[in-house]
Parts: sequence; C-alpha cells; structure tokens
Amino acid sequence: MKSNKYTGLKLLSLLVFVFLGISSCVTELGLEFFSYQRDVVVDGGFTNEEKVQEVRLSYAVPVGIDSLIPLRGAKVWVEDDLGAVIDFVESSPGVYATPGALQGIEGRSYKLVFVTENGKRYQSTEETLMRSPAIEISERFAELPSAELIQNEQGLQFFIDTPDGAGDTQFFRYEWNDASKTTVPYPARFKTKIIAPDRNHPEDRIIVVSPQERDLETCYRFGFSNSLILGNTIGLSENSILDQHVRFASMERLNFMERYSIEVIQYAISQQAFNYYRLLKEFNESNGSLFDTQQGIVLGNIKSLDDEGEVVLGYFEVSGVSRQRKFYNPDEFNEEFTSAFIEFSDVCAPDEIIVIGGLGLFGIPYDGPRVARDAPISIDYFPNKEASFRSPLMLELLGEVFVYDFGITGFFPFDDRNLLLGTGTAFLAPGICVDCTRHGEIAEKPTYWID
Amino acid sequence: MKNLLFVLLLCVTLSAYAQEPLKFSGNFSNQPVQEVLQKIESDLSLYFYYSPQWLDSLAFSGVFNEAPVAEVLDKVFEGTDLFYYRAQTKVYLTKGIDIIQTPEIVGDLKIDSVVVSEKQPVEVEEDTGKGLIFTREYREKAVVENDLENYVFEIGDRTAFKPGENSTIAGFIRDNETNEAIKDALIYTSTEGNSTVSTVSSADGFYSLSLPNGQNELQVQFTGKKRAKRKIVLFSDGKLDIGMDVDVIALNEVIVSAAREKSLENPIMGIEKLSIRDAKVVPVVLGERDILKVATTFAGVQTVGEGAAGFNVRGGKSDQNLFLLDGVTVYNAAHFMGFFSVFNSDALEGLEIHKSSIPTKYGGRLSSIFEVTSKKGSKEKLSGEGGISPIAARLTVEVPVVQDKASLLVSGRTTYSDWVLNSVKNVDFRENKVSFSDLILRYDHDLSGKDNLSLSGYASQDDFRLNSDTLFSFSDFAHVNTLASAKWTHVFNGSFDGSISGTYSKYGYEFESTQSPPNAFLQDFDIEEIGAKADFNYGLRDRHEFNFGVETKRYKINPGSKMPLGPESIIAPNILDEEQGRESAFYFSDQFTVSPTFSVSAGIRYSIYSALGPGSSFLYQESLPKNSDSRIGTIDYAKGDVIKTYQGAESRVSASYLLGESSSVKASYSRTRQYIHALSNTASISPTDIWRLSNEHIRPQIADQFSLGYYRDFFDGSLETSIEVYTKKLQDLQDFKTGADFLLNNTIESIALQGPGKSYGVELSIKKSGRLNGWFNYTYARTFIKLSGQTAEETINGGEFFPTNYDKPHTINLVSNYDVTKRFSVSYNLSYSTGRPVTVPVGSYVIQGLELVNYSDRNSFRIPDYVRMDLGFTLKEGHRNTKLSHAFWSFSIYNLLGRDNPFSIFFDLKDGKVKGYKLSVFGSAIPTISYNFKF
Repeated sequence: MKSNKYTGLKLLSLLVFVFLGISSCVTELGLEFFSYQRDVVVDGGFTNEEKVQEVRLSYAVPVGIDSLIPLRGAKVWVEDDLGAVIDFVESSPGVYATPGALQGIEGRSYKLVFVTENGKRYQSTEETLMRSPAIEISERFAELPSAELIQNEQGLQFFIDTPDGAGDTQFFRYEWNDASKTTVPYPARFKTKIIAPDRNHPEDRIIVVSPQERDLETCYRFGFSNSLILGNTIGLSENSILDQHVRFASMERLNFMERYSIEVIQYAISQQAFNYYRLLKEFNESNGSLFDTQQGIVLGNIKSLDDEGEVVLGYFEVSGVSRQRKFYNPDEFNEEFTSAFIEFSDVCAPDEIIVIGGLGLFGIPYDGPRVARDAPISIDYFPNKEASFRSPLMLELLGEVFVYDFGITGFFPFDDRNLLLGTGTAFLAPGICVDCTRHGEIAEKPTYWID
Repeated sequence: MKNLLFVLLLCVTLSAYAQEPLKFSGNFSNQPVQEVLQKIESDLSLYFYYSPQWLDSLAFSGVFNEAPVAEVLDKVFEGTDLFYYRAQTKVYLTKGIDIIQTPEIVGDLKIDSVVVSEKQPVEVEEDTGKGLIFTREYREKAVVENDLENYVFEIGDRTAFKPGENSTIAGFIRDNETNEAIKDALIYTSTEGNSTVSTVSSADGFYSLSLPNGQNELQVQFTGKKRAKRKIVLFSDGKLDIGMDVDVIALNEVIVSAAREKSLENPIMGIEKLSIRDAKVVPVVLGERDILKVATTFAGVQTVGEGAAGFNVRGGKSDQNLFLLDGVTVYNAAHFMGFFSVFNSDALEGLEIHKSSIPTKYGGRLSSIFEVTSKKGSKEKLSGEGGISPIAARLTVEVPVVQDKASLLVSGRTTYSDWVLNSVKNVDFRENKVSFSDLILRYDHDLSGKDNLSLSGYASQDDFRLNSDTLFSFSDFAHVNTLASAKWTHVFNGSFDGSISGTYSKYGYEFESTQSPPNAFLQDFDIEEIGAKADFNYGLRDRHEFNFGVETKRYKINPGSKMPLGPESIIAPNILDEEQGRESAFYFSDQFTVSPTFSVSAGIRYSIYSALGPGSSFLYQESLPKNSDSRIGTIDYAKGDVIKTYQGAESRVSASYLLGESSSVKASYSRTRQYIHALSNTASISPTDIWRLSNEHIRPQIADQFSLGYYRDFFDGSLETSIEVYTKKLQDLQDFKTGADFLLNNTIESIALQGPGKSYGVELSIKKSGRLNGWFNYTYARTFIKLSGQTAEETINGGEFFPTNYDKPHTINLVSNYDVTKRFSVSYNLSYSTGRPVTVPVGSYVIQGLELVNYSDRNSFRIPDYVRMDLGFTLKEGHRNTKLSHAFWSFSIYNLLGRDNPFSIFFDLKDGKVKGYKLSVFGSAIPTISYNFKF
C-alpha cells in the first residue's frame, strides 16, 4: 500500500517540493545510537474460522535488529465469557497454538491470559467476537504517483464492498494476498554466458550457450499485504463499506500478463482495536515531513497484572473473518486497462540473427582453422552440452536481450577449439519474454488456483 | 512650511558683503536651467548645490551681457519657487525656503558683537544665551550636501527669549517624497554638553520636546530615511516641521540605527524592527524576498525547520504569535506549507516584532506580536515596483488618487506558471497544480490636516489540485485569507490624538475528495474575526506619554463540516456546531520619563473573554478523563448565552536606566493571556490547523515573562550590542494526547492536555551599520513543558518537564552585507542551531506480520545540528534620477556549502525491516537569480 504513505498534507508538501524543484533527499541512518526497551509483545488473534488458533509472544528488539526474541515457556490460555478455558501449547519457540483446529463463536467474548516462566502474569481485556459481513472485491484502473511524485504508475486498484451491509460491525481490518501467473512466449531453452578471456580484446569474447535445465515457461508471483489496512463505517449515511481501498497492483510490474488472483480477508474488530491499529499506522507510516504527527507509545489491550506500569505491546485481536478470492484474466478488465495493457506480443518481437560458427556474429571473418563434419546435428549433439560462439560485443549492446533458442542448418563443423563453424540462427528476445522468473518464481500451482 | 520658516544662515551673513561682483554673459533660448547653471559654473568657477529634480522641468530664455551674477541668478529663478544663496564660490539653491540675510534682526538681538565676520573672532558673554555662539563654531564647517542641515532655524519669538528657561518645540516629521507623516521617528537633541532629550513621533508624525532656550541641535532618525539634523536657536515655544529624505544608499543597506537609538532609551524591551530594505539584502532561497524569513535571523525567533511555517518566539508555541497586517489578525501567514510568507514584501513598509514587553494595546497571544505594516501609496506621483523570481511574479503600483491628498496602493503577486510541474516528463502528472496568489490594497486619504482615513484590504489564496485519476485521500485543497480594515485617525491637538478602527479577518480552508464516488466529500473549516478598536495617545508635559483605549473582537468558528459530494456518495453530512466568542479589553499605559536617564513604561490591559451560545457543552464525571465514557450530561445554550467567561489583568511594566551616553539597562515584566488555540499535533504549523476557542473545559493560556537587558553602543552608535536575559512561566499550555484526531471532533476536551511550561534564555546581539553592515546574534534558549494527567494517556514522559519539539538551545545568526560600490553589494549569511528534539523508537516488534516500531518518551533525541551559509550579490542599474525606472538584479546561493542539513528523522518499513532515515529539504546549494524593477 504505497499510496497510504502519501496522504493529505504530507502529499501536498511533497507536491510543493516538486513544484519548487527542490530535490529533498532521504538518507539512511545508522541506528546503533538509539536506546532500547525490552517490552513484552503479544501478537495474537482468535477468530471464528476453524483452524489452529495462534498467539505469538516475544520481546521487542532493538531497532535495526532483524530477529525475534521469543518469550518461551509461558503458560497461555484463552477464557471466554462463560468461563471456558482453551489452553495453548508452545508449538515452536514463542508460538503458542491450540492443540487442534477450533473456532470462536460470534457474540462470545474472549480474553487472553498468560504467565511467564518466572511467574509474571498478563491479561488482555475481554474482546467480543463480531460477525464479519460478506465482502465483494471490485477493481478499477487507476494511476498513482510514483514515490518521487514525478510520474504516475498505472495499475489496478482493488476495492472492497460489503454488498449486504456491515450489520452491527463498524470497524474492520483487512489483509490481502495475491498471485499472478505468467507464461512467457519464448521460454529459454538455452542459457547464455559471455566469456571474455582478454579484456583488451573484446572482439575475442565468446558466447557460451548451454541448454537451460529449468523450465522457464510458467511462474507465479505471490504478494502479501505489508501495511495495516483499516476501514470503518463511521460518518457514513449507511452502515456499509463501499470502495474501501485494499490493494493497488501496478501494471508496470506485469502483474496481469496471464492470470491474476487476489484474496481479501476482512476482520471485524472492536473500536478499541481499530483505534490501536490507527495509531500504529499513523506512527509507522511517516515520511519525515513536518506534518508527521507527534509519535508516542501505542498501548493495546494487554496489561501486566503484577506491575501496572509495565509496558506491554501488541494486541489480542478477537475477530470475525470473511474472505473472498477472485481470479482475473487480462481481457476481463475494462477498456482503460486494455489500452494501457502491455501484451507480450508488444514487447517480445523476437529477433533472429544468423550466426556463423567461428566467424562470430555479423559475419566478421574468422581466419582460424576449420574442421568439417558432415552430419547434421541438434543441440543435444554438442559436446559437453555447450556451444560457443565468438561474439564481438553483440550481447552487451543488446542489453536485456537473450538468446532463447538456437537453430542450426547446414554444416555444423567444429574447429579444434570446439568452436562451431558453419551457419546457424540464434533466436533472441528480451529477458522478460524468455525467462518467467522475471515475473515471479517457479512454483507449484497454488492449491487454490483455478485456471 | 513656506510661510513659517525663516532661515537665517548666520555664519555667512556678513561675509557675503565682502564679495566682488562677478560678471556673466550668455544667450539662452528655452534652455534647461540645469544647462544654464552648468554654463555659469564653468564660466565663473562657481559651484551650484541643488537637488536635480527641482530643475527637471525648468527652462530659461534670456540674454546677459556682463551682468552681475546676482542679477543673472535673480532672472534665472524668477517665477520659480527656488531661492539661492551664494557664499563665495558656492551657490546653494533651496526650494521654497528663502534665505534671508537680515542684519537688522541680528541687530535687534543685540548680538552685533557675536555675529561678525570671519576675521573677527569673538568673545561671548555668558548671559547672552548659548544659542548665539554658533557663528564662530560653525563658520569653518563647510556646507556639504543638505543646506537645511547647516541652516540655523530660529524658533519662537525672539523678544520672548528668556535665557536659562525651557521652551517647547513641536512640529511634524514628514517624508519629503510622499509628504506622508512618519510615525515612530526618533527626535532627540544632540547638543554638545547637554543631556539628551528625546521623543518619538506619533502616528501623524507629530512630536514635541521641551528644550533649554538657546542653541540646540536636533536629530531625527527613522529606518530607511537619512538622518536629519537641524540647528535651532530656541527663543520661545515654536514650531519646526522636519522633512526626511529616503536614504538612497539605504536601498542596499541594513539600517538598524533608528530602532536601536530609540531602544537605548526606550523602556520597551525585546523589540525587533525590520524595514523592508533590511530584508532586501538577506539572500533568500528561490528568490522570493520574505520579511518573515528574515525575522528568523533575529535573536529569539525560531522555526522548527526549513520551509516550516510558524515561529517559536522565546520558547513559545507557533500559535502564540499574533500576526497583524495593518492591525488585522492574519490566521495563516504561510504560502506553500511554509516556504513563503503571505506578505509580498514590495507592498510593505516594515515589520515590528514585540517579544518581551508587549505594549498594552496588543493582546490575545502569549509570545509575540508580529506587526506588519503595508506601505502608503505615494500621493505625489505614480510609481511602481515589480519583480520576477523563479517562483512568482509581482507588481506593486502606487497611484495618487487626489494629488497630495489621497493615494492608492495595489500590490499583487502570483505564481505565474506551473513550469516545474510541466517540465516533468510524464503527461499525467502535469495535471497536478499548485499555486498561490495574494493581493494588497490600501487607500489613504488626508481628509484635513487633522484627519486621516485609511482603508485596506488583503486576500491570499493557495490552491492545490491533484490529478483526478489518482487515488488520494483528497484531491483539491485550497486555503484563503481575507482581511479588511478601516481606520480613522484624528489629531485633537499637538499632544492628543486618537484613532478608531474596524477590522475583519477570515481564514478558511476546504478540501474535497472525489475519486471514489461513494466516499466523495467536501470538508471545510473557517474562522471569522470582527473587531473594533479605539486607541488614544496623550502627551503630558513631555514626560508622560499615555496610551489608552478599548478593543473588542467577535469570533465565529466553523470547526469543520463534512458533506457528501455527488449523488452516489454515502458520506453522512457532519456539521459541527459553530463556536462563538467575544474577547474585549481595555488598556492604559504611561511612558513616563522620570528623569533624562530614567524612564518607565507601565500599563495594564484587562481582558474579558466569553464563550457564547448557541452551543452545547458536555458534563463529565469529575476525576475521570474526559471522554464519552465519563460523559454524564449536556447543557444547551441559546443564542447569545454566555457559556463561560474568563477574565484577568495583564500587567506590563518596563523601565530603562541610561548609564552614561551609550549604555543602558532595562528590565521588564509582562503578562499575556490567550483565549484562542490552534489544534496541532505536528511539528510545523499547518494550513489545516484548526483554531478553537476557550470554553468551560479549555482554559485560557497565561504567560508571565521577566526580562533584563544591558545595551551598549560603540563607535558613535555604529556598533550596537545588547544582552538580554529572560524567563517565562506558562500556565495551561495547550497540548494534545498522542495521536489525537482533531478533524471533526466536537469534544476537544477529550483530546486536550494542558500543563505548565517554562522557558528561559540569554540573547546576545551585535548590530553594525556602515558600509559593512548587518547583525550577529547568539541565543541560548530552553523551553519545557510538563503534561501530567490522571491517567497514562494524559501523562507524557512520566509527568516530568520535557523539552518541547522546538527547544533548540544554541542558535547563531550572522547577516552581513558589504557595499562594494553604490551599485554592487555582497551579502553573506550564517545560520547555526542545535537540532530540534524528536521522538525516536526504543525498539521494534512484529504484529500481524508487520514490523513496527515502539516509541516511548517524547523528544528524547535530537536531530543533528543545523549549519547553513548563504551568499548573495545585488547589482543595481545606474541610479540616476533622470531614468524612468530603476532595476536591480539579485543573485543568491542558498546553502552555499550544499550541506545536507537534516530536517527530520523518521522511521519507515522497507523490505519488511524498520530503518531510520533523515530527510533534508535543501540538500544542495540552490542558486537563484531574480530581477526587480522600480518606476
């Protein structure tokens, strides 16, 4: 949710910067000089979905340290308003889970209690499990300014509506995850590698072509929400969510080439939880402008029972959940999208060049010795599964263009240095057309995927 | 003036008789007088002294044949209002002032023995009065530029002359060019061997002084004007009007002497005066001269960062400053989020900042008064001024509506293109717009010699528009200031004058969001202030200056409304109740000159504020935090009902004691009360800040300030130094809970925190005038606040005093300008300050898969120190009077060293990790060129 960072005045002040031609600059700070407070952190939820419910207990870490200090060995349970107790068991360090799948019940209240190894007791306030109304994903073509505000990025904005109204619930938190499937038109059958034995003689560079062992045809890109997305129905004339922004997916990252899927999860939360997340969001999504609000500690719903002054971070969120997943093919989007949509056929125009073994590309004469062979060969025939060409600068000049295939006709002689002689055709195309890992990762089809 | 003045040039009266008549021949036919004089000069080796514009339109025809020079000159000046006086080879021309050579008068005075030729030095008898010795004293001194300076004016009736007694001299100080009265000019005696007597001219330029009879020398000073000197012989009570000339050189000079000379003896402390000319020499970023930005180079005036709006004066919050434009409150003084001030410098006369002993006629804000005065248009001739900088174009025109009676000033400024945005390659982005404009109108009418009417109007607007395809929280944002005032000034007599004025000020903003039709809305805020004021000045026997009056203001605030836009919008209309309030005050002060070395200014302002209905007010359970849970009831008030009244006296006392000729000590105490508060949770003042009135839950803020200062001048006043120490105690300083939401909040009390504050500091400053001029100051200042409530959310930093986010202990400012030639000057600025406090994280943690930072104590860390140097060059085109227009180019480099001064530190999530960043606004040197003209 890049868009969330530039709202309101912060955005306008950036716009003023652009207008005045001021290039404000942002540099990274070393963080070692800040002080550190080792507070207990509770990150847990309890929902009405039938699953293994989890609570993660840890300690805050110094800023810039990329690890977690788990709070181990605690006794953790959840109590409902009828007095029933659900015990959690430490499944991995700091992670406490219900022994089996279970679900919370709408309208019932729950509180989290835990006691650390050294006997310190903590407890959350009671939170009522609210019903989460059904959601409907919709999307529109949109443009967002880039981070530097000097250009717009085109893409699709996904929204959430609650078509049947929001019922009694007014406050929501959202998460999304998405996946896009991409099949490249010219999956590379070869890997190319440039060997430059002598720096001073670039004309002696050799392209080494070898078969591509991985299947680069189809990849998936997976994304997850990485910021707090909150919604509410306060100040609306009807109690429903309409046009709630959830995810902006940029087209420039070729998210929609073949098939795209997004799932949005809606958590119905309490007002207290909403206010907690609102502050977290406000304090964590700053951009250094003078319109950043004054930051301070954000306390959730957990207190120490032994020491009133102890700071406990985090929230025990009790929520009703509703979710929806949708699949899209590019032709299902509207006209605005279509006109901005870049298809592979627009960018992949494959090129063929005639290569003359030993003569290098572009027919630069090669005066070396030649050894003729008579039999036609295929790529499998190459000794050591590798063929080499002399190349004067060719591939560097083309930049992102890759040899994805190689066809051989006529004579296929090799010289004594294992250089191919004779005539062939190298098929070239931009990297994004030959290698699907540019668009994601080579992965098994996700279990939810429907083609 | 013509009729009243008889000028006697005693020193040369007799010597005139001894001259041999010179003869001159020439034939002129409609030739400019200037050329005639040039011919006389070259033929007879005479030198004429005059002001060229007197001769501009004059031509002469005539034939001379060996004519005596006196006859020639009589002819040439026949029918003009020019007079001449010849002293040997020098001929002085005067306009409208006849130089009478009347030995009879001298005889009448029985001073034959005194007024003698240069060959006869004279013994003076003691009892003839000291006024009569000048002949010998001044005879030797060459008359150089301005005749009036060495003329000796006789004041009063010489037959009534009583040696050893005092008489009163009174008159008006005027601008020679515009004939406008000059207010606040300092008139003082500089007679050798006598202690200095001084006064300051009133709004209509009037002054009066009681002086010993006899010879006296008067000097008049005013910022931007040449120092005027008058030699007088005071016989009895009489009148002397003094005209002042624009200091032509001063176009490029920093003049601080007038304010300073005054400050040495004036008991009022902590006053900073800035003329628009001072502002011209200070290099500015992006070429927009900005009087408020220059103000930040004064000791005790700070901002939180580059491009930030709002000032922190002596540890005060940014909403504690009262910005007045011609007496009308300006609620938002910033364009473009703070990069520029809303005042177009071309239309301004100057700026006066009161930061410690605020005069009793002002009130309503705790920390300071920024009194911006617009320029009166010229009543004589059409003139104008304009300029182009990379950001904006501006034009000011002065129109005499009724010759010598009424004038109109119109001054406008606007960003003239979005060229930077347009230069951005991406077509879509060009649809965004940012712009501002402002307009000042001022009409002045001299109704009679005693009545003046002044009407002024002002409007400023900022517009931001974002491409409507984009998906922001809002797309259009605009804020507007509208001001108007009418003021009638009447002079009852020489020692009593007064004025009645009416003011109107409105500030509002509006933003809309239209991208998502179901959520489209329009939201706004506005504040309206209508005021009336009667102000009187009464002088009593030159020792008391009384100032008194009454003032009342009516506030009306729309704290916010949100309305759906378009048929699809499901936004529910939400209109907060309007707030009304009335703030009235009466005040009285006396500036009392106890002795020539000791003066006291003591006054009291009594202010009464009432929050008025209609409206409703919530009741809360005592001893619980005020929120919806503790609410136990509502009281509704009908229109005009008084909801709550606060009142109190604000005493303002200051005293100065002269320690010899060039140094003084001063002390002051001042109390201020503030009933209106800007709600802000951000470091900078922002255009969306909401002003709210005190009510039964929000108490007025009160400040007490004590200050003590020592002032000393060196080198005849060309180097002025001072040291001031102050301490401030604040009550009920307004702050807010962390993360409080102000927009559309009808229970401000639920988010407000009020607590005590304290500030103290030392300000050291040096000012220099001359060819190398400027100022330097060092400030040590601290400011703290304590927020200790009943609950954790109402308590910040454990309920202890902590530094505010504008607490910058050390500040150094150097502003210097060197006039290389009259046309070319170089200026250099240096600015240093300790980094401001910021809140930094004490840890990070993960919630819902997101890495987050944990903040603890407020303002526990400081951003790195700030250092900046600027260099500026100003080149004027030839400054000849004959030229129709004058122009100057200025070239400046802001942040010469390209130092990467951090503006803020912030923490953000990048690739799933929290990282700290620092943001610099001007991370490199910024050169700017601008062109300015005047006609």
